[in-house]
Amino acid sequence: MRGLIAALVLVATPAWAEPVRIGSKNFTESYLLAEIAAQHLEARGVEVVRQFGLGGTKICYDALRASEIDLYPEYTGTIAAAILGDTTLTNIAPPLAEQGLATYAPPGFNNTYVLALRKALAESRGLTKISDLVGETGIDAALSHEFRARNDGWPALSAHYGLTLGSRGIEHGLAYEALASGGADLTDAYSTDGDLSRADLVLLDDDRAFFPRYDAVWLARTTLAPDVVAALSELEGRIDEATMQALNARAALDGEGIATVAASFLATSGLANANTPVPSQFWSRLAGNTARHIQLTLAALLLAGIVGVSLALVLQPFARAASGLLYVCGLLQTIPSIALLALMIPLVGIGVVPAVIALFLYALLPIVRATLTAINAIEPVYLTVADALGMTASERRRHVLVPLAMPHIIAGLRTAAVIAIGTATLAAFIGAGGLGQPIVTGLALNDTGLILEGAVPAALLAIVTDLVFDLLERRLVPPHLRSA
Amino acid sequence: MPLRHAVSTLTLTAMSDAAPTAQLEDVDVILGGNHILHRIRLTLPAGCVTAVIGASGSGKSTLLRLLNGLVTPQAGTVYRHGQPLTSERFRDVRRDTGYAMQQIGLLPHLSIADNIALPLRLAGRAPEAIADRVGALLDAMQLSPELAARYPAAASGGQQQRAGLARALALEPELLLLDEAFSGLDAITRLATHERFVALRGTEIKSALLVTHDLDEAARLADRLVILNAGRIVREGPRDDVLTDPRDPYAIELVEAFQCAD
Repeated sequence: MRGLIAALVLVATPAWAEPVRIGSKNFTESYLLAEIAAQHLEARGVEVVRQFGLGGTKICYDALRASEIDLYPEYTGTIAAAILGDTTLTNIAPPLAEQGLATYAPPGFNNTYVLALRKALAESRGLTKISDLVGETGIDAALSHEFRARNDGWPALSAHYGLTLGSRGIEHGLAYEALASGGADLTDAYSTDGDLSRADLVLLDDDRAFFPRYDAVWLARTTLAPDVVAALSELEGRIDEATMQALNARAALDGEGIATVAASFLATSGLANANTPVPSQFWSRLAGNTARHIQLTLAALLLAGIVGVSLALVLQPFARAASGLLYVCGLLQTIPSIALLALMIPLVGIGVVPAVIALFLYALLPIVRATLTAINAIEPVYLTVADALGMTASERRRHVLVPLAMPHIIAGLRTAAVIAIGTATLAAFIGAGGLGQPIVTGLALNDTGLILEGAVPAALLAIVTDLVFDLLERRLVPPHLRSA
Repeated sequence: MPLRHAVSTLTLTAMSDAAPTAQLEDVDVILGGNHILHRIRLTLPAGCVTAVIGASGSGKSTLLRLLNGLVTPQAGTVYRHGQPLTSERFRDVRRDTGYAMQQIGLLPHLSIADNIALPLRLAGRAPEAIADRVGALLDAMQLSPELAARYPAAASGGQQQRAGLARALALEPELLLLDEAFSGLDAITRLATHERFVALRGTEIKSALLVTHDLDEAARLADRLVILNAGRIVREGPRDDVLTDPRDPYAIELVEAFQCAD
């Protein structure tokens, strides 16, 4: 299966030395650190593959363990709590070594959680540290979903300090706007967030030492080549908290590109040599993303068309089996796409293969349903004719069932194609690229232009696909049998 | 009644020597709990056109479908090519049995010519042979090549029925089954189609079994008549014998009604 998909997608894999595959999560700082490492390694002559914007800690970590990426930027506190599941851990090296992983060359800053309070409220109530919140009421805490759920997050913090405040979840990128507009009072933040330097916020002092250290490190496979480790160590200690905050602000608030900010950091640090790579050009990036998007969709659709129509044809004579098939396809449809993608990682890793499998599974229902409905609706006289002409089961499928069901099959494929084009934008979360790449990056960087760079071509692609199916129907179905 | 005696008596004398095309031996058919046919004994002589006449629901279509295995009897035996018709033989027997029915069933996604060619393609004939045979059938059915290039939806009922007949005859079957094949046509078209049928006797049409509720049609086209009432054969024999001496009360009623209308 995997080989078949890989062949269908025609992924070009270079034949020379293994490149270093760098991952990142889908927020500004992670992109920046990963890009800094990538440019620096490239400047040292190492070939790099960027697998940025992976959809969260679990996806990055699973990808690393499955050897789909070689390193990504992570934080010591996150490794202890979210990955190893033990917040009291003081030495994370031994359990990581068991997994064939290690941390390298801390860049030099601690991006811990902080609680940020609206300045006006803090001043009016005289709140400066977290313990001041004890017994306070009427403070609207809007916290990121991850912080509310983590072992070392809000519930543990409330218990540690004895807080009684309620909370609600909010997308982290929107929290600052909510606080600025007075829609909320309190949020969790990262101490290097670019917004912190500019918004009217007070950072509450962690006076009872609840938060562990979140020192940035490179979490990597121990198989990393010595020259790569050496190059990474040149970055060690180069980025303090103020520097990181400034870089984040430039990328997230001023809209400078990730590549530009990374390059200028390397240049001012005296690390980059002359041939710093220029950021990729708009049109070539667009063409690359669109081509990959079409590959993903087409491969999934082709597979789903072949498998879906065949299954429907073979199982249609058996009513129970046919309704069982519909049931299974319907069930697959109810799995949220991001969850399906995440479930795929331990089985087939990240990248194109799991994306195509997920898209394939989603495409099955419309195709199977259309085929079954169409065959069941065929007038009995044609089935009698097929019998009377002495057709075998396969002749009957080929000469009667499929041609008569064709208008509906094409309609099913059309629906599946439009769904697949939309869903394929999520493939970027697991490093499969496509038009979701600029959307995911744009969401992380709060860059509307970048979001449109993915969303507009995806919409156009859906329209073009619709037209292609019109042509296909014109070719395959005589005029009087076409669906309206 | 000039047409009644139009069929040559030559075929009647020739038929008795050859082995019969098909035989039904004590056949009972029960469908969905209904006893459709009772103890049917019938021989279809080679080279002969036999008509089964009966009211709707008398079981005449079921009787016809026994002969190509579309219906399987609960008791008794159907003989084709001198041997019992078993499911392993369906494919071969069906390709040696033309089948045309009132609903015609030309496949809507194929042109008329392609519909006629379909049995030949299924039989694996060479493309040139298919083209020749389709051409000959179009001639025989008086269908123009321009019409044959169209989809069935663009043809008249009579043209479609003749195309259906052409498809049924494509593989030069030993036996042609006609299930109310002319019933859907208007009177004039029907008469023209009857003439086609008579003209093709002995060449394209070898033996045939036709089912109709119309004794007039049966008398025009058939050498032998079988009268079916409520699943039983009540009278059977050469056409003129049956018409002049119906014997059975239902058959008498039928023949009298026919002669009044005549």
